[in-house]
Amino acid sequence: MQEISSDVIRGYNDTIILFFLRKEPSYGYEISKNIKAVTDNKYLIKETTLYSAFTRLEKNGYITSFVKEADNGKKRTYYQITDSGDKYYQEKCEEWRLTKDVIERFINS
Amino acid sequence: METIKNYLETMFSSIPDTPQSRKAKQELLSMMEDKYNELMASGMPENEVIGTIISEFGNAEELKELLGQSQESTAVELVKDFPNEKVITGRRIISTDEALHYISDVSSSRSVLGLGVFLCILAPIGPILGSGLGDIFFLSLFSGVFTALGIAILFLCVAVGVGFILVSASKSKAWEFLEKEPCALAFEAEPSVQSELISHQETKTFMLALGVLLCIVSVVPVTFFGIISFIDFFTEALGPALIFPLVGAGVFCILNSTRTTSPCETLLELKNKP
Repeated sequence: MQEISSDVIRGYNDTIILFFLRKEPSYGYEISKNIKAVTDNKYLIKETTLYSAFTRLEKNGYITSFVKEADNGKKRTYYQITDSGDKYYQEKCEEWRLTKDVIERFINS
Repeated sequence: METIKNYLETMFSSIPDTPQSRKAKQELLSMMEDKYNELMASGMPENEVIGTIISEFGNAEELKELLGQSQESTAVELVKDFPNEKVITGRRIISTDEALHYISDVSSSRSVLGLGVFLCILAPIGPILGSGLGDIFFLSLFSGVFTALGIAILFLCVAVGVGFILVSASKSKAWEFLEKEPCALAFEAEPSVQSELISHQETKTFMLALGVLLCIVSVVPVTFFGIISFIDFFTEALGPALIFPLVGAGVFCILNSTRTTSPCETLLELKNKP
C-alpha cells in the first residue's frame, strides 16, 4: 500500500490538530485516535510527532494546556485552542487551498 | 507496560535530563499508556500491543530534534515555566520515595511526641486523685496507700512521657541533613507532595480547632463541681484532676494538627532556602 509521505504532511500536522481542538479541548491519545479514524487509518501520527506539534503550538500561543483528571483517576494534559490558534488555522486552510490548486495543475489525471 | 517504560527510558537515555525532556517523557508515556490500555482491552495479545506501540512511537532522531529545537528558547522558557529549576543544580535531590518516607517519619514522630507530652501533662492526676481517694477513707492506712500510689503514677507518667519524647527526637534525626545540606525536592515529586499537603489541610484545621476547644473545655468540670458541690471528692479531686487529661488531649491535637502539612511545607520550601 502506498504510504503517506511524512515530508508532505509535516507542514499540516498543526492544522490537523487544531481542527480537532476547535471542537473541544482534547488530549494526546484522543487526538491521535481521531486522526486515525477520520483518515480511515491512512494516516497514523507518531507520538513523537504529536508531542512535538503540541509543544510548538503552545510555544506559539496557538494552544494552551491544562491538567485534568479522567474518570479513572489518570491525570492528563489537555490542550485548548486560543483565538490566535483559530486564526492560524484559518490561514493554514487558505494556504492549503492555494497549494492544492497549484499542485493539482501538475498532476496527470 | 514495564517494557514500554523501559523502551522510553532507552529512547531518552542519550537526551540530557532537563525539565523539558522530563515533561516530554511524561507526556509520551501518558499517550502510550492510553494506547496500551485500549489495545489490551480490545483483546490483542500483549506482545502485539507492545510491538504496535513501539512501531508507532516515532524515532529517537525526531525526539532529539524536538528537544534540541526547544533548546533555542530554553532561556526564556526556563524562567517562565520553571523559575526554580536553575537553583536545583548542586543540591541533594529528594526523590518521591524519600519525600513520602520523610512525611510519614515526621508524622509518626509527631504522634509519639504528642503522646509523650500528653503523658507528662497527665502526670499530676496521680497525686490529686490519690489524695482525694485517700480522704474518702479516714483510716490512715488506706490514705497512705492512695497517696503513695498517686505519686507513683506521677513518676511513671513522666518517665514514660519523657521516653516517648526522646524516641520521637531520635526518629527525626535521620532527616537532619534536610536542615544542614542544601537540598531540593525532585521535580516529579512535587505534585505528590502538593496533593498530600492539600488533602491534609482540612484535617489540620479540624485538629487545631479541636485542640483549642479541649483546652477551653478543660476548666468546665472543675467549675461545675465547684458550683454544685455535693460530693467533696468531686469538688476537690475529680474536677481539678480532669483539667489535665483535657489539656493534654488538647495539646496532643494541636501538636498533631500539622504532622503531615508541616513536612510537606518543609519539602516544598527546600529549594527556596539559600
